[in-house]
Amino acid sequence: MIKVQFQSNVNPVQFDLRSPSTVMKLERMGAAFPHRLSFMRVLIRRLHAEKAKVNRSLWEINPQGYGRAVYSVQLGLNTYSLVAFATHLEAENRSDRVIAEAWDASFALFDGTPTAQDLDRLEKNAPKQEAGRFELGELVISRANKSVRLFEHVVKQLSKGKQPDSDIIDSVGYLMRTTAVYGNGKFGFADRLKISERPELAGPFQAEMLTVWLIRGFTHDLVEHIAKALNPKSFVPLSTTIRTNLGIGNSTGLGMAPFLIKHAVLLNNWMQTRETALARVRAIENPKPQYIDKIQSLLLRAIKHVNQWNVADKNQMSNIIQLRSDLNEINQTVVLEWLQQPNPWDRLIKLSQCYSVECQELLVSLVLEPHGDLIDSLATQMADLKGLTLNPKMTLNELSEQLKSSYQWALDIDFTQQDSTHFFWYTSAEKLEPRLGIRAKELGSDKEMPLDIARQVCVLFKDLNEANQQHSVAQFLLTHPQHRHITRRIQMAKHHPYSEIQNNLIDIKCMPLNILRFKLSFFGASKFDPKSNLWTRVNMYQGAPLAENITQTNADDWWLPVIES
Amino acid sequence: MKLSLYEIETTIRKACVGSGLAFGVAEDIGKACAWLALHQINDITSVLKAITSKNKNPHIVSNNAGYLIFSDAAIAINGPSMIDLLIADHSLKNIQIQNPDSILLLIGLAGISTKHFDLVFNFTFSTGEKISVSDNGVNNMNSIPNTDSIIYLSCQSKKTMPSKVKTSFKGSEINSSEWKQIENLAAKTYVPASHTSRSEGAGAGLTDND
Repeated sequence: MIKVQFQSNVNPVQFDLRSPSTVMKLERMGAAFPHRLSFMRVLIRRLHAEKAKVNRSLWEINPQGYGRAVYSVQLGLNTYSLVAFATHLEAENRSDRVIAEAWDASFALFDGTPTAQDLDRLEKNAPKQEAGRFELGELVISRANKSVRLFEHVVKQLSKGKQPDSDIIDSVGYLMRTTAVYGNGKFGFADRLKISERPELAGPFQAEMLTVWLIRGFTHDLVEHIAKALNPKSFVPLSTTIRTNLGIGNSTGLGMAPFLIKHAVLLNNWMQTRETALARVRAIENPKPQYIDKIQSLLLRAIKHVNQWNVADKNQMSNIIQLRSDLNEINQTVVLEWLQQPNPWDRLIKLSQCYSVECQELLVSLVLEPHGDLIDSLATQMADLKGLTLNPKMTLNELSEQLKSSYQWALDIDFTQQDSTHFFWYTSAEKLEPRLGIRAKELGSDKEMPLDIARQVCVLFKDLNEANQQHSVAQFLLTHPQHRHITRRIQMAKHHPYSEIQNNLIDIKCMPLNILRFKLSFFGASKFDPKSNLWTRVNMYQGAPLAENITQTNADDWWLPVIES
Repeated sequence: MKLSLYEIETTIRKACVGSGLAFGVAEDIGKACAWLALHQINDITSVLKAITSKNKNPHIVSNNAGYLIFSDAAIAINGPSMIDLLIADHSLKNIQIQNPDSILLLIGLAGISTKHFDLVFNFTFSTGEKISVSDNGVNNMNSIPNTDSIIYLSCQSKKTMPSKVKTSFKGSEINSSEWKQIENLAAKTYVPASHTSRSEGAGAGLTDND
C-alpha cells in the first residue's frame, strides 16, 4: 500500500492508497469505469456552476443536412465556439480509421467568436482534418461519422411525427461518433500553452470534452433539421428523454495507447488522484444516512445500466454477464443493516475482492460517486505541469536501487522467449496511423516506437551492473546515451509511483484494448463496445445534461446512465 | 509557414531519431527547439546541421584543473551530456566547447534545464562576447558570434522570479525548405504501409456503415 499525502488545503483522513502493483496492471486498468473525477464530469460541473448558455449563432444547413453551423458558449472569461461542417459522404468512404479522408461532419473549437473570414478558412480546412492547415484561433479539431442505421431511423420517425424506437436507441446510443479529437498544437492550431492558465480549460482534456459536448448538441439539431425538412407538417422534435439518452459515440483506436505510455507523469497524476479519492472515501467511518441511501440507489442504477450493456464481443459479453451476477449478489448482501455498520465503503471494497475485476472497479467508482464534497477538489491535481526531468546528479547506485524498487516486475520478464517480444508498435507512413505489428511476420521493427519499457529496463540493468556504481548518471549517459529515455523514467518513478503500466507491452498477451478502456474511463465514457483487441467504440455524454437543462439541480447525477423508455 | 510548439518539438524529435540519434537524446533536442521557438529563436539551420552531423564520436578531453573540453563538438550527440555534467559535477568549473556545430541548439538544451534546477547558464565566447540563458530566455542574444569560436560554458544557481507562462506565443516562422528537410528525416521513422499492416495493424474496418 502506498502512503501519499496529497497537497491540499484540507487534510482529510484517508486510508492507504491501493498499491501500483495492484492497480497498474493492464487487466485491472482494462476493467475501469467512469467516475466523478472523469474529465466529462468535471466539465459538466463547471458548465452547471457557471450556468453556461449555448448560443447557436449560425445555422446554414440545407434540407439534406449539409452546410455549416456555429455554437458559442462562455466559460470563465472566455467565449468558445464550435464550428461545424456537415458534408455529403459516400458509403464506401465512411471509415472510422485514421486513414479515412472524408467524414460526415468535421469540427473546430474556435477560441472566441469566428469572423466570416475564419468561417471561410475553416470551411476549406476542417473537412480535410489532418490534411488541412489551422491557425492559432483553433484549439481543437474533430470529425464524426453517422451511425447510419440509427440516424436514418430517427429522421424517418421524427418526420412521421413519432419518437424513435427505444430499443434501437438503446442498442446504439448515439447519432454520430467522433473518430478523432485533436488538441494541443497539432496541424498548426494553438498549443495547450495558450489555455493552460485558464481555469476553465486547465484540467486535462477540458477543451476536447467541451468540443464533444457541443458536437452532441449539433447531432441532435441536425437530425431534427433533416426530419423537419422532409415533412414539416408532421415533424416532431426529439423528446428531452431521448435527447438525453443520445450521447456521442467515439471510435477509439491504438493512438490512445502510445499517448498514455509517453505521458507517464500524466498517467501517474490521474491514477494517484483517483486512488487518493478512494482512500479518503474508505476512511469514512460513519456516513450520514443520505449517503447510504445514495449508495443503495446507485447500486440499483448500476445493475440496470449493466443490464442494458450488450456487446458483440464474446469476451467482453462474458465479463458483463459475470458482472451482472456479481452485482446482484452484492446487492443482496449490502442491505441497510450491513451498510450501517462502521466503515461501510471500506468493507464494500474489501467484499468486492471476492468478485470479478470488473465488479471491483465498478464499485470503486460507485463509492466515489456521492462524495463530491470530499474529493472533487482533487480534480485540479490531474494535470502535468512539469513533465519528465532527468536528474544527472544521481549516482548509479541510487539509480540501480530505484530500478529494483520500482521495476522488479520488468526484471522478472524473460526476454529470451519469443513471446516476450511478439509485437512492435510503430507509426505507419499511411496518415501516421499508430499500428501494432507482429515482429516475426512483418517488416518495420527497426522503426519500432520505444514503448517496450520493460525491455529497455532490462537492457539498462545489465549495463548498470557493469558500470562504476559511484559514477553519476551524467557520466554514465555520456557513454551510454541510448539509456537516456529509460533512465529518466526510472528516476521519475520514485515520486510518481503510478507512472508505469506494469506489463510487457510487446508481449504476445498484451491487449492494447485495456489501455484504451482505461483512458476512456478517465474521459468519462461508458458502454465500452470492443470490436477487436485494437479498437473499441464507446458512448460519451449519454445521460448527461443538455445545453437547455445544464442548470438543473441534478446536472451532476448521470453516472452510469439508464435508458428510460 | 507558421508552426506550433507541438509540431516543432515532435517533428524535430522524430527527425533526430530518423538521423540515428537515441530516443532520449531526441526528446531533449525536440524540447530544446520548442524552447528556442517559445523565446522567438526560429533559426533551425544549425540545428539541422547538428542533427545530420556525421561526427558520431567527438573528442572529449578531461583537464585536471576542473575543465572538460569537447573538440569538434557535435551538439546533437553530446549537448545533453554537456549540460548534465555541469549540473552534476560541482567541481567542474566550465566546459570548453570547440567548433560547436550548433550554438543555438546548445542554448536550447541549456534553456530547458534552467527551470527545473534553478540555474543560469553562462556562455563566454573566445571572441569576447557573453550571453546568459535562464528560464526567462537569452540575455544578449545579439552577442552570439557568427564565426567559429570556442565556448566556455558554466552554470550557477540562481533563483529567478518564476517566468510568466508565455501564453502569447503566436507560432513560429520556420524556413520552409529547411523544415521540409526536417520532415523528410522524421519520415524515416514511419513504416511504409502494406496490405497486412492496413488490414491488421489497427482497428476499425476500412468502411464503417453500421
